[in-house]
Amino acid sequence: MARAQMIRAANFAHPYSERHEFYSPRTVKMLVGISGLVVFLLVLLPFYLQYLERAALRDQIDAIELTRASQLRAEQAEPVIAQKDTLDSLRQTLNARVDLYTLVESVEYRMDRLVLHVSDLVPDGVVLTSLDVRPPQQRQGGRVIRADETRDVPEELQSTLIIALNGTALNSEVLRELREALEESPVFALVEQSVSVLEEGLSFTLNARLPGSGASLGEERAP
Amino acid sequence: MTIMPGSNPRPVGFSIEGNVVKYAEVHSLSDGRLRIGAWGTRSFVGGSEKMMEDLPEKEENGTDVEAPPAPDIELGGPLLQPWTVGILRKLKRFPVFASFADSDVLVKFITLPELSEQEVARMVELRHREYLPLPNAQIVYDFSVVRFTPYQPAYEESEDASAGPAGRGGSDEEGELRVMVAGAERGTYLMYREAIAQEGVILRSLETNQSALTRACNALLGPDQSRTYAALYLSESYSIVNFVVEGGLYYSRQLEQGLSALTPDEAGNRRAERMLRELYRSVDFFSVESRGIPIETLYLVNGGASPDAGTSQRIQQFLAERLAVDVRTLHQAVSEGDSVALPQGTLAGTLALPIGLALRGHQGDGI
Repeated sequence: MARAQMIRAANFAHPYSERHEFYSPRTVKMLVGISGLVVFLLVLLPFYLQYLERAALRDQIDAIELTRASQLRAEQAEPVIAQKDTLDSLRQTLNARVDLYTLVESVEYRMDRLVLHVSDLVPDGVVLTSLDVRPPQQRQGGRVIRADETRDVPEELQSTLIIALNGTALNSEVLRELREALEESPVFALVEQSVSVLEEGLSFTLNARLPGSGASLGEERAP
Repeated sequence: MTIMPGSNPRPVGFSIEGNVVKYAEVHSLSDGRLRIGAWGTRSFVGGSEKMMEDLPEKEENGTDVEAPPAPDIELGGPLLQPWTVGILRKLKRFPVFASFADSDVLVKFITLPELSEQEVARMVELRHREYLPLPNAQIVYDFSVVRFTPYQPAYEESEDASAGPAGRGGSDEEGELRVMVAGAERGTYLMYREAIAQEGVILRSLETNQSALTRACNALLGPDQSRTYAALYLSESYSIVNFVVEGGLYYSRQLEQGLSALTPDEAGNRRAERMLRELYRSVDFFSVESRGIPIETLYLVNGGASPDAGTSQRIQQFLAERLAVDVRTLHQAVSEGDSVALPQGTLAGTLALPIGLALRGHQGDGI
């Protein structure tokens, strides 16, 4: 005979006939479970709200830091940009000077003039043989300044450049091209042009001055 | 030491027997044995209240303290009077497992084919008026499925088929359910509930003494839960005879004779003979209902508030001479085993009901 079991025990604390007055154990368990879940969620709610608040705060802080970092980079870059502009203009100036100087093959001070020999400035067979720069003082005679010494050219000498062309094919076309080349140069400002004749032949003189060095007009000189 | 709820209060059984209320706090030891912690009885005698309670709390390995002699008891007082409620107030904040007084509850045993619990509930709902002779609007009822018996061809062969219960022969493969239907008058039921609720007691269950007695006997007799026996509970004013088959209550009957009626004089002898005839009839009815399950042992369980060892021994001898079964007292059987640490006082044997009630807190509703 199988072992006896009591499958269900009567309990008049909540009898079957009065079951409508009591919740069943299953209902009680369900209610307790739901209540527990609700309480659990209510307990968690402040933490979740705090988490959301902190997340929003973190986003704001990140945005502020990002803005501040970009501002900082802009502030740091500003002098660099300004310096870059300065450097760019300086480089252009220097490049222009270098361009001019590279045209100079040799510089010769002949009698009362500083003669800069340049070449191949003008195409089509026209040879620019020299630039004649006359110093304001004429007691510089005999000294020849080489191309690599142009930096040592006294400032007063640089104030006036007289470009002497040595060639036989000098004509109005050559003059115009030369004048345009000087006009494009940011270094020299073409002030006046004239034609002079050097020793070897007919020559012309362009009077130009360096910017900021004051008005120093060239003079037409006869060779 | 008085009974005080700790951080984890233990189940307390609370029983009402005539003019005696009893409680017992049952501990479950780590080795599976049970120990009775605080316990007490309170009786209402001739307009004055007498109580004897609060066995000093013993240590786990300590010795019990013998309780003082019990007072004399007069019978016939009302139930749930202030003197009873006083104990309930004492049990506040304990999980209390109580029982109806036997005079307040009707019990009927029926046999049903194998059904689900919902089907049994529906069956009881439809037919409880047949089982419990109380007006429908005034009855509160509940039921216990006390036993499930699978199909047993051996009993079919040994018994005449016509002697079996109705519906038995319908399906050879179906088992049967033994169901105890219990009902109480609504006013009585409400009185119990209100009296208990007013004192703030945590009422876990309110059941019948028959179930509690079976639970107590099974626990006190030892770990072998498949015993088949009869138990005669001797209260002051009535007796209960339980027929337990393989640990499950199969049939129970309340007898009119109690300890107070079994006096050693001529009138007491006549009452004892009447009780014996009732016992015979109960055994016969059980034999028919169970189709011949034999009962070999009858355990005498002392109730009341003042068990007299002499009276108990006299009843034991009387029944042993007249019944063809082994008659033993439950206290003897418990003393031979070690499944429970019972108090050694003379009151110990009277605590079967509160112990059985409190055991429900340890064993759950399924026992």
